[in-house]
Amino acid sequence: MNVVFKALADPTRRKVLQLLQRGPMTAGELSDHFEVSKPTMSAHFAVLTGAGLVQAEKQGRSITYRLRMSVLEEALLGFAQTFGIAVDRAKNRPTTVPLRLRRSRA
Amino acid sequence: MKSPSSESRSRITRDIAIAGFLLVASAVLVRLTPAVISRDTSYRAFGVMLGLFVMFYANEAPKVLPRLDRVRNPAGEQARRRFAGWTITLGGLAYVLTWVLAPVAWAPPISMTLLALSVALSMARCVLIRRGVPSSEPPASILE
Repeated sequence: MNVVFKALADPTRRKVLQLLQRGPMTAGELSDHFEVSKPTMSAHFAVLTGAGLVQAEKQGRSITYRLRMSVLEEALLGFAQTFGIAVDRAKNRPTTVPLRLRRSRA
Repeated sequence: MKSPSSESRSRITRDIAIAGFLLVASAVLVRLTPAVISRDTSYRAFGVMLGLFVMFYANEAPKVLPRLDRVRNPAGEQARRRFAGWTITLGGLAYVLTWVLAPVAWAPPISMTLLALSVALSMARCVLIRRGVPSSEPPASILE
């Protein structure tokens, strides 16, 4: 359960889950909704897959992600979205640097 | 992450454990009635147990996914599973609450009606999705 809370603590990951509520999406389609680098998105996907909240399936050259949340996990997502889970953000942030930060540093 | 085979193995083990628990708990309830607990309490406990059982499996329903290449409409399939999971879980919750709160004489018809309604609702929604009636999408604000 702890990994689920960790996965839901990050707003980017919560938004990924909300996008997937509409239906399966490829990694590229999901990444288009965020201004972060591909490695950062991959790290987020890895956390979500590790927590068992999404399922990745390879289709040709692309990876399709599907929602794999129980009713309780979806209720937790709604709760986290409404009230915001402010768990130690630094711990939950993927190790890669977001694209916009790298641009501003350059 | 667990491999699919180890996951299904642990799921089967868990299901057998739950079935065993239900059998043992039922036997204990029968044994204790009416010497230790009243017939009504035993009846209620069994109803609550059945409701929790329904809730547990309905909660897990959206997590069981068929392979993507075997599904004609993946978004519709997902919507069906999510809706069925939510309605039957809430139906199970209503079943539990009825057995806790309603008079024992009224609990069976009320709880069964509520559970049957939730199943009928999820089946109706499945038929609508299969016919191509669009499901409600999340509000645009959360997708920005």
